[in-house]
Amino acid sequence: MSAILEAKGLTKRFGGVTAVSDLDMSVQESQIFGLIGPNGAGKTTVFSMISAFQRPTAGQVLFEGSDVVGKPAHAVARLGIARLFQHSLLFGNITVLENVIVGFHRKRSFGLFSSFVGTKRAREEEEGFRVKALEILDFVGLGRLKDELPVNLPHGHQRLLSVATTLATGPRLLLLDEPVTGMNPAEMNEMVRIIRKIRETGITLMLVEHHMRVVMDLCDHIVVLNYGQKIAEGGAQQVCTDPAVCAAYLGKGTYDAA
Amino acid sequence: MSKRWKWIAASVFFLIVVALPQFIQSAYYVHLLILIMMNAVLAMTFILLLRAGLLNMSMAAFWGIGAYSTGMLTLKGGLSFWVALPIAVAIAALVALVFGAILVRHAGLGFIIPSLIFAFIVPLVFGTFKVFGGHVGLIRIPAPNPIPLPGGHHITFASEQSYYYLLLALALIVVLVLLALYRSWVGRAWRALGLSSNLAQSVSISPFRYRLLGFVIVSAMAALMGVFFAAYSTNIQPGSYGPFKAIYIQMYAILGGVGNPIIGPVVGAAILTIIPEALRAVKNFEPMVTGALIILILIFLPQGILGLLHGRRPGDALGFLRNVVHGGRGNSNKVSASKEGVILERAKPADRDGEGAA
Amino acid sequence: MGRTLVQLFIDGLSMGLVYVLMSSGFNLVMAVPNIIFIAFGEFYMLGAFIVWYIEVPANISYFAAVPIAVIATAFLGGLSYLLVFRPLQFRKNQFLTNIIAGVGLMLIIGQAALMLFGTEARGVPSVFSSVYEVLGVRIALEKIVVIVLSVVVLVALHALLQKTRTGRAMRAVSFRSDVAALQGVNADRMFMVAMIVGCALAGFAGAIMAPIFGVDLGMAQNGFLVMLVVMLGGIGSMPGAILGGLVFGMTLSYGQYYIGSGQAQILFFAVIMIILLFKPGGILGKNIEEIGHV
Repeated sequence: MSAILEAKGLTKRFGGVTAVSDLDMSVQESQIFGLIGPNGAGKTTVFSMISAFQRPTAGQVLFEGSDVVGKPAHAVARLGIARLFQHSLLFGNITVLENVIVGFHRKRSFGLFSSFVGTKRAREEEEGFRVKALEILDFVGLGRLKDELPVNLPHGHQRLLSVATTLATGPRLLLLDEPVTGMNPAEMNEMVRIIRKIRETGITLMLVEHHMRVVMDLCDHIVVLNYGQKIAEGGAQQVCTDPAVCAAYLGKGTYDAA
Repeated sequence: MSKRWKWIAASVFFLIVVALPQFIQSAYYVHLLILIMMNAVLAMTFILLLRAGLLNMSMAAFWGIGAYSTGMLTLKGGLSFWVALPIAVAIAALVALVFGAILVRHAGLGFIIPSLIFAFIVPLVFGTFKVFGGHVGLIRIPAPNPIPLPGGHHITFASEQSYYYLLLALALIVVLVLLALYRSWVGRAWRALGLSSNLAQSVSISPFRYRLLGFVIVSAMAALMGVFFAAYSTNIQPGSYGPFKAIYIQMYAILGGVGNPIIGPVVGAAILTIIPEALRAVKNFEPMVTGALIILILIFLPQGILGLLHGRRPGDALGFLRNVVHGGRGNSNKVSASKEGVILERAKPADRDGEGAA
Repeated sequence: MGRTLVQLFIDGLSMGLVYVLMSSGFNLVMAVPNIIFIAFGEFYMLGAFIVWYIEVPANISYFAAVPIAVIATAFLGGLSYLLVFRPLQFRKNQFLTNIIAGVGLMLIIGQAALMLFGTEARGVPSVFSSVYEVLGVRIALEKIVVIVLSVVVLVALHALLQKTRTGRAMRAVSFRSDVAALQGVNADRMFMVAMIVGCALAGFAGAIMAPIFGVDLGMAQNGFLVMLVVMLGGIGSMPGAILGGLVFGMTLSYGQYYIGSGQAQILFFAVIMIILLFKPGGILGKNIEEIGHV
């Protein structure tokens, strides 16, 4: 297995604050990779840099071998990196089904003119996307809600919709920023099950999460950040018992042993 | 309303529009209809960019570029209207491409303000340099050459009615293009960008490319209307193409209702063109009444006039008075109130009509 | 009589400072309640008209006329907020809605002014009509008075914004209104205060300009141009408003003399646009891409 994503010396400074400092990490294909740390450790910033919504102050991000630093966010998405945002971003005024269909933007093969003119093949492709979108919605369990508006969905379902939209892009790497935060245990279990199913399709996953049980359950490999620096790395057991990790978490945040 | 009924309604409407001038005696009313149609098209183009997340203030300037290009090409260059038309539109598209490439890189106010300045500069340029006729503008722009028909007849452009049909043809083209765009991937990309630019980018939609495309298309369409207007009114003054006109165009769109990108502007343009005319009897009060009407529609019909047709209750008057007397919402707080609105009211897919699924 | 550099400078300075007054007012309305107030120019015009009306037909002293004009415009500003802008809060497309509401107000106020005051340009007799000769240059006292008054008011405004509780509250609201609310600041009240002060500034500007430039309906246009000045200098930034206003005044003054009024304006706008393309927040403005989301 090869490294699908590598960060080398990744650093982000905002004015006087260093959010991420000289981070090295390597994500293997088909791994579920966890990124954890107390609040404010810089985890979301790392995701932002990988998906190019923010530009690193220094360092490289190598996706499938080539550096993506400096590319615009949509270009990085086009390369195959999809992102689930921490605060559910959804397309508010269109239906659930339409939301997912937008995700297929990356995969369409006909240019502007054909789609505009409505050539037969373009329309067929569009119909194909519609069918696939329904499949994805069934995959995450939202099939019967396809005509609802996102704003009418409970939080858990909104997260699932976001996941569905990212899946539509057919990514190679999926960044999940706090996928289960704010969910009740039933929803959490469902999300964990779905994440496992996604891995089975060959997609590599990176996870930022605060719920330790979920992290320990799912992740093959974990990197722990504190104040922007990597303080530990390894498998679930290793990280759990690492004294530096315990020190970072003691008194802060929640160790959810449930 | 099922799809079939929509087609029927649209066809009936279209037939009415085509037949209308035959029944109207007064050239003045036909003139009004022409104005309504033109303003409606301008408003439609504004809405396109609005739905893509850009508040474009430069519409009137491109309208002016289209008009002045036509004026210069036909009056000073001696070209036929029909030759000038595509050239003028191409000029506008080129200008839009150049300026758009610079403007569109920014979002929010970073786009609005330069576009507003553009709206100021263009009429200023036309008004200052003598070659464009200065303050007075261009006069006696020639009418379009007659179109030869089989059988020896000609379509001449001497009466209001002929211009009406010319505009109708142009407007129809624009509307059909718009509908096709909305239905296509491009329309979907625009919608996505307008709803959440970040999310759109994360599914590989390039904001720059699609906004620039939208900007060029919209500016070309506005210019097309300017081309028509130059020939129709035979004289053009720089003042009419300034930022005020731009804002009026936005008014037609908003007051009509942005839910439907085609019908809303027609309604808005119609109301805002007819009312001032109807009030000419009380000429002194007319602007005040129009101004008050604008404000009232904004306050009581948040969905625009089209909202009435969807069966929404207009905002309640009592609530308005309560608002005035008792003060905002106590410690009014933009964030919490908008969340409040989401929880209390079950959202209806009111503007699905605008999805191009018409 | 040709104008010397010094005279042009004084002209530019006095005009510039008046524009600074207006752009500060506009800035307040833009930054605090986030309204692009299209009707702002009407308040400038009203200030001048009211001064004329009180001085000429009613024959009351200029010194009383100016405060009355300011109070009137302030009152009208508050009324506008209550009746128009507050009910329009929390709308989708709020930004755009505010712009259009401004047009509605502009129509109403403009027409009312027209009906009340008629169409001819008026002259307002100048109280400070003496002209001094300093070092061989003729300088009108009136203009010096304008300069002095403007500076005084601007300093007072600065003090208000920086030193008083209300001022700090307004700045907090302009920055993050939700966070300010958590601190117990009544955002709604601050919006109204900003509106009142902003319109009062416009009225004051009109009032002191009246003796120099006369009073006519075209004045409202100047107010409209102020918007651009604000955008040049930077929204939410008082130093920016000052910079923008002064640059505008100077450009007009020198530009009008050397290259003609129309060209001067074009030059000015072109420069603004170029600057804004590189620095969208204006020269000294804050990052404004968050505002104005439609």
